[in-house]
Amino acid sequence: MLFLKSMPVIASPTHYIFQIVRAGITFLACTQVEMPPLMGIEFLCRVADILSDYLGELNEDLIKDNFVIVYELLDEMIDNGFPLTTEPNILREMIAPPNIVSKMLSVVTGNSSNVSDILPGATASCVPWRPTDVKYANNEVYVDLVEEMDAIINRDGVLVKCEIYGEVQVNCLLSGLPDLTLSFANPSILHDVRFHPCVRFRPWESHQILSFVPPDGQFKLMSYRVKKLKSTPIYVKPQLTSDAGTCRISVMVGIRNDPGKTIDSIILQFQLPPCILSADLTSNHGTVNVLSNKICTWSIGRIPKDKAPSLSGTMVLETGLETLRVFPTFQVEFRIMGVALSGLQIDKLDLQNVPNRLYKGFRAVTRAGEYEVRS
Amino acid sequence: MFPQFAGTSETLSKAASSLVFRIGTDAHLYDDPEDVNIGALLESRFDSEKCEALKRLLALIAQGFDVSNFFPQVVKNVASQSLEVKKLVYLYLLHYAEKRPNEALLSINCFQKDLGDPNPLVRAWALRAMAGIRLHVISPLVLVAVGKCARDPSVFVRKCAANALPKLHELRQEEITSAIEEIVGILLNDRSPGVVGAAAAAFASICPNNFTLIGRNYRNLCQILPDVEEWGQILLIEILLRYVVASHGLVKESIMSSLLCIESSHSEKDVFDVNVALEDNGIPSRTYDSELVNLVSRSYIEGLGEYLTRSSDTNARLSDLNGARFTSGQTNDDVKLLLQCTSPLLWSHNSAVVLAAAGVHWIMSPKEDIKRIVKPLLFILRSSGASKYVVLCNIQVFAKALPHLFVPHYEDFFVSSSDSYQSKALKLEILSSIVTESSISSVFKEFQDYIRDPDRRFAADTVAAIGLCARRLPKMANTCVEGLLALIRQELLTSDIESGNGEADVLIQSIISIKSIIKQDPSCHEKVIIQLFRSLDSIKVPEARVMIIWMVGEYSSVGVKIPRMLTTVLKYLAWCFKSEAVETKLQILNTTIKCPCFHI
Repeated sequence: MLFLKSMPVIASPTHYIFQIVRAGITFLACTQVEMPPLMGIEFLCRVADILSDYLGELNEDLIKDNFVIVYELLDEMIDNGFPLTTEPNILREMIAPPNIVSKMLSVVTGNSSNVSDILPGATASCVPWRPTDVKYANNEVYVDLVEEMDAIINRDGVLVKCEIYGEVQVNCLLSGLPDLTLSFANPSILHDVRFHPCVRFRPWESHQILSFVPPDGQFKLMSYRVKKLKSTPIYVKPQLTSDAGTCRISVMVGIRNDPGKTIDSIILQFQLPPCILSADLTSNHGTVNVLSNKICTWSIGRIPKDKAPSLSGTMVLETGLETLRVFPTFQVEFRIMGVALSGLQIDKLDLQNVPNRLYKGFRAVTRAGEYEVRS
Repeated sequence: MFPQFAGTSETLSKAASSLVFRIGTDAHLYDDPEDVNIGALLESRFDSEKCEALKRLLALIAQGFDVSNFFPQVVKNVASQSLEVKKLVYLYLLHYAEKRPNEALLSINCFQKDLGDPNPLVRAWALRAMAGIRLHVISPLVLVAVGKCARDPSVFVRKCAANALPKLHELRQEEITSAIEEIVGILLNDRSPGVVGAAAAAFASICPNNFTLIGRNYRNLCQILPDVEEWGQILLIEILLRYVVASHGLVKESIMSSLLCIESSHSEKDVFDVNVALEDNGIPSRTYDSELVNLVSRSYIEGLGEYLTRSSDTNARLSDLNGARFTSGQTNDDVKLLLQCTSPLLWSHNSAVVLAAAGVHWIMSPKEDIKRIVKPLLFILRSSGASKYVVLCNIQVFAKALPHLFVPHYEDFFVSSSDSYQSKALKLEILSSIVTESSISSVFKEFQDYIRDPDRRFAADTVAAIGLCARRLPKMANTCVEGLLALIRQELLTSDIESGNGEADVLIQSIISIKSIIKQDPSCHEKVIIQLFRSLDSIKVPEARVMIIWMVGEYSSVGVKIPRMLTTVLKYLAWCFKSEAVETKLQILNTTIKCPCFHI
């Protein structure tokens, strides 16, 4: 049964079952006919994304609080087993998201209708991801490079793999039907790319230029990957030595390649192996917590200028075991605001029919993604 | 006037109490839906109270209660002017229409009236509701409504018409089938990509083999494909692929064809060698197993579901297909058009679309162009976590057929501790299929780290993967064996290996791997067998002992030292026989018999 819990696709004698888990909530879909399994899984991901977008975040209480909206959304998103409308813009126009103001109004006036009585214009246009009558007083576009660094550092401290998975997230607050062109200074470093449906293929194929009519508001324009990076911003050096039933552990953390901006929110996490009975761990900076499920978390925050943060302690092995034979893997988290470690640079963002006032903002942030250090 | 105030004040005070906990949410309706008289609310003049009643009914439905006894009262509200009431009524109706057909029919008039409403949203809902009431009695009416909506000026209404067709078709009425298919044809020819996507879905469920409908519009469908929304794209790609296979056959230069061919006598090259030219002047230089090709072609034409259920019937139906058909990807325009239109879809943000497009290229593309699917597939592994497992399953198949495609990308299959167990197992298998002499050292370094993982099941899988690698790359056999022996020595130092224990799995798997390596060339590994036998005393796990004893028996005449040792071996086995487990005793007997008589 435990095995089945994590399987995304389960075949039973009568049905195929698809499941994804987000924030502790399992989304389940089942079918009796042969169909591409990824279609089921992607659709469930889309439902989870839309609910998360509408409710602010995903948890059981919010879903119960807003079950009518959930019903209405599901009714619009899927019809007789085929996805009907999954575009966030169109759904938002048909079914208004709940927010505090409308909730207050509905309590006072007794009118709690959130269902629109007008068909969104976007359903008829050839740009279905964008509403047709958008108006803003200030025209603004924000482009963020949101990156995650994946790294594997093996037992010998060698950097086996270091790559960056990134997303170009755009927040577009422009009136009418803008046509944007975004280009990079160094697109050749991009190893892989995937695009939002609004991106036209040909300009990218020929000149590596993103040409698109954007959806309104926040959306993910493209995701990319940059491979074979040479080094990481911080180092983590774990050391475990065991002898006669106890194991001494020491972990040092420090800055290896200063990215020029502050590295904060540094957290180290690892699972104590089952053969460890108890652990007594302390650190000279930050806090160390060991939970009942044997997960140890060391929250470092920022690396101070005057000392190198280090964790040390002893662990007691189970009776009969002299030395530790299996070793935990350390998951690392960090955040660096203001820099995209891949080195990707945005060159230009142009808008056809530039309005009188246009404000463009560019930001970058790099976080740790699948970043692990083996001991 | 006064009752009116009473009504609102009661609702307000109730709402006020819930304000304390959750402002204006419907949670109280969910948690205790029955504390109000729903019937009375449904009869109320106020839309808000009707809404509350309907929401409570929905809450009860969500919790599994049967509230069909309210049907007559709910149905009366279907003509309400308020769109929210209408919507909620539709939701309720669709749940219970089959249970209460007669009462559901009362609402048909109202739906038909709404079909002429100037608001396209109302027309669409009315059509969806009508089609959702699946009663044979009204199917002619629904058919007429769908036909009308298929020509509606609004894109959304036409899309809903396309969605309504499969519901009609499910009623299984012969007399309307051809009319339904005709409407599918009309919608497939629509100018709007949104409608075409929904029409493709209707086609797939109603008349998946009616290829004339596709043939008429093939070029248009291919060209509109990049603009169709993602869910329609997935189905449309599959339909177009099946059409091409049905009308033209398999593509000669593709990997599918080479997987189905029999090596001709004068060809010594590997079937999977990319550089071999398949033909000269259009004359194939290989013979094809026509029966196998027929089966494969038919599985694409009929769709896997149909094909599997009918596979017992193949002999009777084989004659339908006129032999193994092939076409050339270089000269056939339909194939070229499909490949061209699906190439940009490899960059789609929907992983199902990427996989469908990759599938088309795998089946139809000439071998030298197939590598364009590799990077998009590998990117899905990182950018869509939920899709990882399914994509890995597909890559496993691709890697077995054409390992050289993935050889340069072996680092993408390094295991991360956040992977699920199944993903880790798949990655190990793929790594063992694609490892080469240049990458084996880094792969083995990774494997050494995996063996130290606290999850012993995963460590055992890694050991099995080492055995697989050694079998594929015989030059590494010796290094592998030495590493495995060192691992066994280390395992034996652990005091607590018992059968069924995770450590025992690692031990057993190591011995299995060594056994499979030795099998390739027993005489080279004589010393290994002897070493294993010498450690038999410290190995207590029966499964492990069984294998070592078997090896001694199997290779008892190999090399020089083993035959000389046999007397000692047999004496030892006889000595420990009494204390062995049943399976070990059986194996000892087996081995004793195998040893050549003149050595005893």
